[in-house]
Amino acid sequence: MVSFDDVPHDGSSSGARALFDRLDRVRAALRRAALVEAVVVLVTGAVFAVGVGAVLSALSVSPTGTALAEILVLLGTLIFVGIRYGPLVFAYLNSDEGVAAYVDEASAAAGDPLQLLSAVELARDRGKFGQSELLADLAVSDAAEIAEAVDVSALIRRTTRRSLKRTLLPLVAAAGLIAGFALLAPRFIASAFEAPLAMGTLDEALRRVPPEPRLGDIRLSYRFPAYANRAPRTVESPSGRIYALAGTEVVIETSARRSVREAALLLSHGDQVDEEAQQIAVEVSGRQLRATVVLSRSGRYRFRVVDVDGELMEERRGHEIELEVDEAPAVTLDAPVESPLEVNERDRLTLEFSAKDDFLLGETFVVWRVLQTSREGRVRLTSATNGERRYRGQAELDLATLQLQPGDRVAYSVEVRDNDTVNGPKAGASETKELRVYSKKAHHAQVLALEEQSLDELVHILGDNLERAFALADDAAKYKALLESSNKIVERAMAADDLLKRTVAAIRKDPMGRPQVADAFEQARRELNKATSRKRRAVRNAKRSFERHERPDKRTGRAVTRSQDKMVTTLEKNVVYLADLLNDQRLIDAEALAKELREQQQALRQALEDFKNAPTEDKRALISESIKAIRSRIQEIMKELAKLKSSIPQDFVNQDALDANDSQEKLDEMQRMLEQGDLDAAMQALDRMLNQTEKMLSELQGGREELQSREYSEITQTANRLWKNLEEVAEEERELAKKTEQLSKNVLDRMRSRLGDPKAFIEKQKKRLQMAAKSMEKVRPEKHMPDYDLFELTERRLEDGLRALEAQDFGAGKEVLDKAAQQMAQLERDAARRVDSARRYGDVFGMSEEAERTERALRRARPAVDAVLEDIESLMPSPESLLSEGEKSMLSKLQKKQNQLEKRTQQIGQDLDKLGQQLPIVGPEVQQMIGDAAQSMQEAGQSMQQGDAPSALSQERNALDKLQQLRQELEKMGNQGGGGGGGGVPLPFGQQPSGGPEGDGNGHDPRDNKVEIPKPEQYKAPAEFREDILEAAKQGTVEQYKDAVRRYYEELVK
Amino acid sequence: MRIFFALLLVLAMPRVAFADDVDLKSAKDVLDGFRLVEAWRIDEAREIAERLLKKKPDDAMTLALVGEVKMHLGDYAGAVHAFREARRNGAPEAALGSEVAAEAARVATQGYVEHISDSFIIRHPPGKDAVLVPFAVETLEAAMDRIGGLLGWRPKSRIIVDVYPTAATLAAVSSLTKEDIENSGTIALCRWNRLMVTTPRAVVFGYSWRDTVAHELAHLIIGGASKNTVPIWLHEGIAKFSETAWRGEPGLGITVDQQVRLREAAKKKELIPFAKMHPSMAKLPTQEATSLAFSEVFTFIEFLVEQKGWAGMRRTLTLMSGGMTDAEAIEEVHGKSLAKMERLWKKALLTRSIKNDKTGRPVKGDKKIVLKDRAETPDDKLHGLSKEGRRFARAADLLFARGRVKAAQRELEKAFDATQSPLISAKLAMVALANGDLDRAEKAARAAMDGTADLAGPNVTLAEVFVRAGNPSEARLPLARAIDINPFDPRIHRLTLAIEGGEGGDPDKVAHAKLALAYYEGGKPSLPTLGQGGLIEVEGAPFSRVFLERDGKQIATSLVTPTPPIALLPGAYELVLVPPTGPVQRQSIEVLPAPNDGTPQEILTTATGS
Repeated sequence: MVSFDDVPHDGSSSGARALFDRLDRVRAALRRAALVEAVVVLVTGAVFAVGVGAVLSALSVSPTGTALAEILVLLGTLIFVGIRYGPLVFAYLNSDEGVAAYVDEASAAAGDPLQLLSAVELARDRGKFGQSELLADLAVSDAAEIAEAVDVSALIRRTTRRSLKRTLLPLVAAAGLIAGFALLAPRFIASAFEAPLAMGTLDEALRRVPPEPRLGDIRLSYRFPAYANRAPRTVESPSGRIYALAGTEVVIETSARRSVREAALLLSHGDQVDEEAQQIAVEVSGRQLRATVVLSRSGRYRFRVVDVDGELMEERRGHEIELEVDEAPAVTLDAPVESPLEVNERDRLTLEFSAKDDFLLGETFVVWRVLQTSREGRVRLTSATNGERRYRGQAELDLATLQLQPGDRVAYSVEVRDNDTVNGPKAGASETKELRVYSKKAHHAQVLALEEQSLDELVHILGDNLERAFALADDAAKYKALLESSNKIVERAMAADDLLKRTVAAIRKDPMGRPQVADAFEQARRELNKATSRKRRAVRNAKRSFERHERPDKRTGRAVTRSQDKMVTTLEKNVVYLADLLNDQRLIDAEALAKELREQQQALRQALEDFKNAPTEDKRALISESIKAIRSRIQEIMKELAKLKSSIPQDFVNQDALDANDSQEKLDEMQRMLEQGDLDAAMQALDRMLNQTEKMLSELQGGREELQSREYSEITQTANRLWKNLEEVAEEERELAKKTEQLSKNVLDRMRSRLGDPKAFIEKQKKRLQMAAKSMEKVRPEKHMPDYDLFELTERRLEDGLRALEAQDFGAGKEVLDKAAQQMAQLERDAARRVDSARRYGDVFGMSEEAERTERALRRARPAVDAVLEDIESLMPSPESLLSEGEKSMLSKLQKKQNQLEKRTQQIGQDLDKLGQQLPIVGPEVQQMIGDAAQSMQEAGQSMQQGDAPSALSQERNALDKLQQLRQELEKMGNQGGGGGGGGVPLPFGQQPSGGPEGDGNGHDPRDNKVEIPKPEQYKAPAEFREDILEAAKQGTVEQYKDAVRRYYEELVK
Repeated sequence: MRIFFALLLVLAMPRVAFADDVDLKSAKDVLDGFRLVEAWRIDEAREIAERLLKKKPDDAMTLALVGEVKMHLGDYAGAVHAFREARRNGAPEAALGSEVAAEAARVATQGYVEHISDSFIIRHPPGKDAVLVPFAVETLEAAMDRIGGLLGWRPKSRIIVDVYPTAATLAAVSSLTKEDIENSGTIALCRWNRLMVTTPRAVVFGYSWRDTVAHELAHLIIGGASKNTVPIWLHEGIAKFSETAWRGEPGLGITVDQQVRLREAAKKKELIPFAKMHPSMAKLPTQEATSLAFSEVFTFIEFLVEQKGWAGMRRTLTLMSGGMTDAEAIEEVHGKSLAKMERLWKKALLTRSIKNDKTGRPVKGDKKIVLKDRAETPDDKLHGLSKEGRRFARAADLLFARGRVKAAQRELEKAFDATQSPLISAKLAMVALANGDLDRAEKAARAAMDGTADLAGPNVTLAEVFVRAGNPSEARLPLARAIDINPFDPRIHRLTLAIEGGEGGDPDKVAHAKLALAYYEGGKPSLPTLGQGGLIEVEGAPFSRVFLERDGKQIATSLVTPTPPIALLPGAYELVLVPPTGPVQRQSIEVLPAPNDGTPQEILTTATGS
């Protein structure tokens, strides 16, 4: 055969080209026709296979046998198509000769024969055998022209149509068969399709299966489980498919074509028909079948019936059972949003959540787990969700019930269950969040780290000052560089202020910390600020001078050096002290941990005893947990001790000589013994550990005492001496006041006896004062007005004066009313000034009228107060005139004593000042207190000199009050003045209460405790409270009123 | 003496000891043997035991004496074995008094390695303490030569020197309690014919351990020379006075401070009576009291030697070994009663010139020995300094801990200026060296050494300054002083490598320095062990120390012949026997697997010296 490619194409034979082009088109058309025919044959085969399958099913051939027949038919068709059309399409039609021959044959059949084959051969063999190429070309051209003129497509259609008709006939027949089945018994068609799917599940292909019974539509009656809260439902279903929740009771009813003798329902699980299916009894009533099933799993069901003739029939595929899915509830935890959230172990945590379920919700729980431990649980949160389909609400979780421990990290989520009573409730959970149980210890550790950071910074500032020390230099460039360097140090020191402030605030908030340590840091901060300011000024001046003169200036340079030296001295003092405080704190913390360790070890010992007496696995587990906890505690202690800063070694240290801590080894040993069941040995090992812990405790306590005695013994001695002096001075001052009091009492008694019955007098003065108060009340300014405070104070003093007079304490009354009169005068002046101002510059604020009213009222009221004062004055002779000669002499002696005490107090102040220079423990308040005490003593001395015992007594009490405050401050040192032992670094005292800018105001300044003066009718003192009242009178009273108040109480209780 | 009298009692009752055949000769030998042990004449006791072993090897009293001799030769396991055998054969408890001590020593020293020198066998736990060995050998051999010469007596056999890892071990093997040791600072002992020394690495900064071992050796020599008749005060006096002889002259054993304190005590008439020093100086209540007592007896011996020289001292000891009391012997030698001599000495104390050792070597007993320290307690070495000085020094600590080394140096300079404290100077030397400030480091190190000679650190710093300055030969002396105190400071060995590693250096020192550094860096040379499977008993010339060699590695058995059964791996060994005196013997042996009945394979030594 010759293909077009074999033909020599030289361009000279255009006829040949035309011929071959024509042949190509014919070839394509022929191929299309052949393929159409092949497809029709295949479809026919497939339809026929289904038909065969249906027939075989109808003949009760097993699905496998049916499937095999179907496959055989299909396979046969495929083979036929391959043999019939393969060579035609892929071989015969590929050759030009073949195509030409086909056209020649078809044209001949049509009665108009063509000779294309000859032309093709001529073109192929052109000049090959010596023939004339020209003639050949001519012949080919002729053939091409003829071919062109013939309608080849029509030829092809004509020839292929016949063939197609032959092929379509079987297809129609097969389709008819299937249509018949589809109309009459569609299940056989379904069986025909399903048969290949059943391949492999059934064997014995040739075994005869029972024929399928002819059943009617299936009626399904559902009774849903109670929790679904659904009404019963009945449906008619041709397919018999069941779709319901697990636990649903389904009544299946159908009817057979013929009467049935007996029947059964076969239930199988999964998608396939199960040979060992569960059989359910079927109620049979003639042709009616009725079965009841309770759904538990998905699968299929089939009827097996025996008709009245005894023929067994059985559905093959049966009907599908699909379980409706009951979804778990969907839960969202809306609050708290924060995770991790810091809580206290006894907090009540409010949880906001929402939940929904496809049926109904059940109870709600919180599921929790302490991370990195085996502690976990589930607690009921609420029942409010019960029976709801959707719920949104909140509930409280009492963390105390979880028995959490400080430092625990807890993962938690809200879990809501549904009400599935068939398969058990399904739980849906929210996302998991985290709680962190606030740990005083963890917080304390953070505060200590901050303290350490602050100390580090102070030490580095000291290091900068030492390493980049400023010194006068002649070289301008060097001098400039030194100034720059000093400036950087100043900047660093200024930046440290913020860190120190934060540290102070953090220490104050630390429940495990000591407020005095905050005072120490605050003192260090203040001193650093002061030193920094000084240095900054000095550096700035030196820089200005340098810039002005462009050369180093000795004067300003020396000032920088001085300021630097001052800063170094301050820092040296502070860093050493703060480092000691930190070390002291670490020793305290380690001691606390060691005490905890001892308790744990004792508990373990008890647990071991219990286990020994009655061993159980639970007890063994408890012991293991205890050992774990002890191990962790020991590590904590070691960690704490390792933080103690060491000193520069003076020599190489032989590490072997240091006590190796072998507690962990002992624990390992004990655990091994436990595992080996040697309880006695384990107990002995534990006893050894306990001894070791006791030793550790004693060493830690010793360590603090050692630190105190080594570094601060002199300071302690000085403080003790000061304390003693202070106690002595206070005691002597108290004695002095007692003696003065006697004299004062004599004076007052004499004054009272001289007064006679003062009732009428008092009534008169009361009326005056009440009138004055009424006048003032009328013009009382609004709270926002600037003179409101003074006005209120004045009114209060008038009231106090009134009470003092009622108590017949004319001295106190005079004192208070004096001040009230002065304040009234002040208020009057202020009002007059406002009136005047309004007149001059206009009443801009519209308050002129009010000011005038105020001025008038005060002008009216003040004379009344003045009159009261004049009357009291006239009643009171000079105190000196009320004293006997002996009393005068006594008062003179007391004055000398008072002067001595004043000097001693001043000396204490000087000593405290010296102490403060050595150690930053003496705060600025102390000097103020000392100064005040000395001042009061001086004034008391002066009053005595004037023979005024009552005034002297008042001042003496002032002085005593200050000395008492000073004593309280000194007690803050913790171990001085008999304020308690215990060693440790002496703590600062005399700092301003709640010193820091972020102070929480938890100072204990007794001045905050104001005592209201009660009205006589307000208080009827029971006898048993008299002492208490007297004691209350002594304490915390505003000093100026102290005398009046005390005597007033005395009168009351009498 | 207790054992001796107990034995007399026992021997007076022939029913027990020699019940079947009362052999008075043997009984006398046994008595003599025990008496010699009591008199610290172990070599002579050993010879008796050897004789008895040949004659009556299974006799209960022979075995008891053998046990005693073995205990005194440092074969604790052998001693325990012999005592047990003796008990089984009927020996009375009175003759087995050392069994408990032997067992304690056996347990404490199990697995110790041994090094043999001409006159000593040094035993220590495997590991770091090997660093001590060459220095210990040098010290002990020199001390044996010098002190033995001064006192006119030397033991014939090799002396056991046990080096213990802690003072607690010393307490466990001796009659002292841990409290005694901590209170008195006793760190070494001489008893049972052996020197028991606590390693300097058990002391925080080390101690003058070389003088200490020489001191203990002096005790052994005094005991031997006097047949253990010298009372404790005289014992300690002679030992203290002669302890420095190994490194030069005797009489350098107390510091200037101790001499000053002694003079003050003499003035205040607060001297401790010699009688109160009984039964042990270590039993005195405080380390201060112990220090004063040592100064007293030291100067008393100095006084005696000044009167009659060392010949007088030798004669005193000889007279005492012959039965005279201390008072009689002193009166005989010096022509004056002891009381008179004591009065004269006290008088002389008031005018005695203060002597200063120019060598700068550390002095034993000068420093309070810190056996254990708590890492967590702050340093209290600056106690007693001015507040200002302490503040500077502590600011320096804080700066140093935060890496501000230069600033720390400034603070330490201020602290030193304020206090002139040698301890601060020692710190300053280290910090200045860290800053590369060699001049300051040298000055500070010298100042520290002038103030306190018992610190190794300043010596090491000085040596390093010399090495860094390119003058390594000058570093040898300070390094030697440092070794006297704490040879476990690794800087010493690094500097030794720098000094000796070059041309003309000492290769032995280099090798030793490398070994020491390997220990410091955690290297642990593998040690052969005896193993199991074979069982031998070594017979032969009695009381030879038994070693085995396998694959070129020596394995100490810590036993002497005749040995109890030794368990070891079967195979070929070289048996090495080190007799108490004389040459070492070698013999190849084949250890067979132990038979099922557990009968040990007997190895009879036949080889002679190699």
